[in-house]
Amino acid sequence: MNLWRLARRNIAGSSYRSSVVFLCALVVAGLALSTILIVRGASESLRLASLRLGADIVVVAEGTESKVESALLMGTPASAALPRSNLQKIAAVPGVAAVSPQLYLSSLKNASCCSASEMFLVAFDPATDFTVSPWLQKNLGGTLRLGEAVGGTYVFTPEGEQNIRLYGYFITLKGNLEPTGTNLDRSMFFTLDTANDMARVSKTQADQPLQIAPDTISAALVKLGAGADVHDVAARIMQAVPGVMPIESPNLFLAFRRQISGLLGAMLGILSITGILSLVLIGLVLSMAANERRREMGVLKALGATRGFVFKVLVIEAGLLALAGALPGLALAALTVYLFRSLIIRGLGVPFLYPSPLQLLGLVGACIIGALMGVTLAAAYPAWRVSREDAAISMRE
Amino acid sequence: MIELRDVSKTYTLDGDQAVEAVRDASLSVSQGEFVIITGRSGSGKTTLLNLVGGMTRPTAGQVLIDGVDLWQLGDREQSRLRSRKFGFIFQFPSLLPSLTVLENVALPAMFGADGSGQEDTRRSQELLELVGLAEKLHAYPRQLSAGQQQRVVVARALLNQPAILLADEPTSDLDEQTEHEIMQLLRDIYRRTAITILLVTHTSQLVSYGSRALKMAAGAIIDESA
Repeated sequence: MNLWRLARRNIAGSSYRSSVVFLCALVVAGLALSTILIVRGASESLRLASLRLGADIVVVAEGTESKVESALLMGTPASAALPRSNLQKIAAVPGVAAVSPQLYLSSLKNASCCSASEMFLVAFDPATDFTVSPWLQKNLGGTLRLGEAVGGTYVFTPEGEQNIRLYGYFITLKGNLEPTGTNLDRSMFFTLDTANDMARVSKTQADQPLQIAPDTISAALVKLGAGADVHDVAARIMQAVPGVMPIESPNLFLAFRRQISGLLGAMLGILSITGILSLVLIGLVLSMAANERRREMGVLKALGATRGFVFKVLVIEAGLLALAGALPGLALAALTVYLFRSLIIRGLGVPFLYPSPLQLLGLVGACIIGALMGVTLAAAYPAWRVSREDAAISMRE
Repeated sequence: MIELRDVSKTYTLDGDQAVEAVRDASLSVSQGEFVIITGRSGSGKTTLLNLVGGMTRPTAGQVLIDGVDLWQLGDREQSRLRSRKFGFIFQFPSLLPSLTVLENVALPAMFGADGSGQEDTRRSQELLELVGLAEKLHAYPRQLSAGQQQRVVVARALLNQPAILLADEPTSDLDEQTEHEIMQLLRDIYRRTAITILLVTHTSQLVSYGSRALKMAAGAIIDESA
């Protein structure tokens, strides 16, 4: 018999007390991990989406900023039109180092001419682009040619086929980008020439032709020169180019950031209330248990146990229960969030990126440490009180 | 071996009410004595025994074991002395319900034995044989009668081969026949070993089992007869 074995046997011998602590640890740990996974997943997703766009300022037509952001993050079809002539005006603004157009399109829904339904499509100008091109250069050794595309992590060529068909136009998928958790993962990137060629072919090959308004783009992506202040340049663009709205990079997806902040607040609120209630409940249960077991602890002291031993045996019991409850709670949370991630995106209206196995392991480890610390804290006072008591007083109860 | 010098113990009950459980008690017990202390309920017998065993701190006076003042020792030294020097038999059910009979008997080895786990188990088995419970090694306390449980407690008290056995009303909840069996068992152990026994009871008929009898009333040792 040793301290750990004694603690384990005591746990097994008191099913009611053990069940309450076990369940509390399971709920709190599970809820904590779910909150962290959802909020972190949404924030990380936004960060990667901003990074993917790679622009310091995104200029869109006035009044269409939320549409463009929704299109990029959630795949909501957007009809945002900006005159192409604005590109020169923006380029002339002091502080602007580069400007590149992007055209946002979407494939048809359930159309026989499209092998991918309602896919978000991004057309870019390879001559000026500074967002997709560096990736292409690094991974494919050049840019995309006519009829070629790269896709988000979930874009693939249908089984048994060599191309993806959009508006009756055959596109060769040359590679896949890293996941972002946003709709960019289900988007396809190709050149403006490919988009125009697709529009031409679609007139005869598609159920419905692809309409691209001449001399129109969806957004202009701006890269600043060294030392330029993003806020000053945005203000200058607004002055120089009427009818546009420059979205500064820190403010990009602001509505979604606010939504995530609100979500974080709500989830932290629920987590705090549940956590505090659980800790109080665990504290009460352990306090009652320690009280009930004063005689048992008195006997242990009479047999030669030190105060430290009595304290340790009570705290270790609580810790083992916390661990036993936290582990299935965390596994359940990780599995639930993973299985229902699409529902989370739709239900909460925010993008979401599930962490890598290594990151998940880190988060689970942090939650285990949190659960252990919480329960140990709740157990510490009653254990300390009983351990300091005269054995004779304990045994009189 | 055991010496109490003007020991008093006052408990403070709810509020400020003070109860003097033991009052200026002085006592000297030599090795190999079987001392039986009798007295009515509330006379201070259990408190006196707890004072001897270091389970409660005296309000005044000194408790000396082999010349060492118990309350001059730190918690660790006092716990070590308790595990090596004393064996305890309580009047209430004191077995740990989640452990088997064998594990309960071996429990004091966690705190005081120098032997290996195997040796502790072997000795526990021997002691359970001694108290007539060799066939109940793997039973749980709830599966035993009150008398059998008390026998297990006796076996547990002897595991670390203590020099002093402190027994607090060891037969209070038992029928007459079982009471006799337990007392007989204690006398056998006393005769076989050089153990010192201090037993408190409210039953004056039990004094015949001891080598020396004391009486307590209102917290004081009032009578001693050889």
